[in-house]
Amino acid sequence: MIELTGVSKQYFGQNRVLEQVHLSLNKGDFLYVVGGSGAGKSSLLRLLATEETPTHGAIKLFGYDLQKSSARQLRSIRQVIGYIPQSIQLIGDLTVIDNLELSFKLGGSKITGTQSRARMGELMDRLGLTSKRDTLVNQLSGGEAQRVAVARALVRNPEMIVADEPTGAQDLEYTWAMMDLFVKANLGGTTLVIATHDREIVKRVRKRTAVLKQGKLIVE
Amino acid sequence: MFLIKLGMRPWMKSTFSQMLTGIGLAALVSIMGVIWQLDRKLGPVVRKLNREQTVTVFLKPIDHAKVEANNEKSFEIVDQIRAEIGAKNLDVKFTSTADFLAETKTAYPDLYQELDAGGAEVQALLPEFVTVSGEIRPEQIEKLKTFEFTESIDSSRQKFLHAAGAFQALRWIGRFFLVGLLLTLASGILHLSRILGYFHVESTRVIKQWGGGFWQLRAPALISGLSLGAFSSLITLAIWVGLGQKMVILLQGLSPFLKDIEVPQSSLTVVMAAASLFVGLVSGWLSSQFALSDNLRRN
Repeated sequence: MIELTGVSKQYFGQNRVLEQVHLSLNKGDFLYVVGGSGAGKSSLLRLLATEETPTHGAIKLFGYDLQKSSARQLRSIRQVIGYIPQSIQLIGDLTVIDNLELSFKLGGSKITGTQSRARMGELMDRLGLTSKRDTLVNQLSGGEAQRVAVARALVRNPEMIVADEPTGAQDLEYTWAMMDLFVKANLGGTTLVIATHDREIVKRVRKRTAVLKQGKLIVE
Repeated sequence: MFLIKLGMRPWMKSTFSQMLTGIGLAALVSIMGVIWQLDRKLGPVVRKLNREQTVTVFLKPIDHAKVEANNEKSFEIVDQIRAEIGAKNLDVKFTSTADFLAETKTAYPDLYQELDAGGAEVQALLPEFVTVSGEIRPEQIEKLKTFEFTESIDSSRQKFLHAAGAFQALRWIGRFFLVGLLLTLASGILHLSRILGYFHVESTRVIKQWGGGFWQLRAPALISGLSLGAFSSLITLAIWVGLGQKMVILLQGLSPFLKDIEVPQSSLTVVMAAASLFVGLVSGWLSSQFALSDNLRRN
């Protein structure tokens, strides 16, 4: 389902941030990516989310080779990914509910309006966002915005969730609420790739872990 | 719904700038429309002044008595002119002293009374002439000079040469301004598109990342441009409906030759409003391209 073969990434005028990464994931896998600052975790996740392209190597997502995919195929791939970037990337001038709706509608989901409203309501409730439903995202705190980003990824029931430090700005209550939601999605067949610094999460929700060190991936 | 909200964001964020841009756009399009119309209306006037003229052939005094004595002579002169200069499409008219006096009586009653009081002595000094009107070639004028009954010739073309020249100069100045305004409009559209593009860079990036299609990626910027165009189009409509008639009256007052200029038809007003809308649409499309190309550069 997801296959990275000899993937390297180098930004213009910089050293390689990823070096010959090989990784294979099947449907329903749950992978933590850990490593120190600058190890290349975010770069790897950006590649998996199709936000960037590799300098060398090949990435296959859902049967499509990313470098050879047409714009239409890329769009189809993106429609089944729920991406939680470290920089959050919400649209600040839209409300919380509009940001969730955007993800849901662009995802090409076939579920009805009532079902989608119920799904959005459930997620906002779990992540403590119900009272912020009609608040503009740029008026939220960093932690609240991060929770909206998580809800946005989950609302479309994606095939794969790529989350870059999703609990970085959360207190314990919401950290575990998020992890519960991720585990629930994983049980439903969603593949998860989560980059984290939080050893407590890795310890308590035991899953496959890959360590990135100076751009090289060592799967444990 | 979220696409419309994104499209209307520039209005929410910088309402005054958007309004000012819309008004500026409408003013620019309207001024261009006025200059274009002026050029169109002056064209026939200049052509008429250059081609059509009235040549007045003043007859020699020696002929007066004969002509007055014999009305047939006037027909002879007219026929001779018609025959020898090939005046197929020309209007040739003989004006005798009596005709002249009759015309003066109506047009200038005071002058007529003076002339009438002067008796035959004064009236003998009054001119008799033949007027030839229409598109007259230079060789035809030369021919008119050669007739034995011709004392002198007066051409309206010579008289109004400066007017034709002034109108022609006005047309060229207008065209010069039109080119300048077109360049201003083009640079304005480009800058507007860049600003709108930057407005939508981040949202375009998010829409792209979340699997938005061709129109979904472009819709916010297109809606921004279209809404600005629609606002500008309403202002253009107001300018043309409100000021069109006043402008025409001002133009008509410039010269008697422009008295035939008409008030702009409603179809023209609609065309001008549509032009403003189109400019907005073009800006929207370009800004969507700018927003997208900025995203492409990131990857």
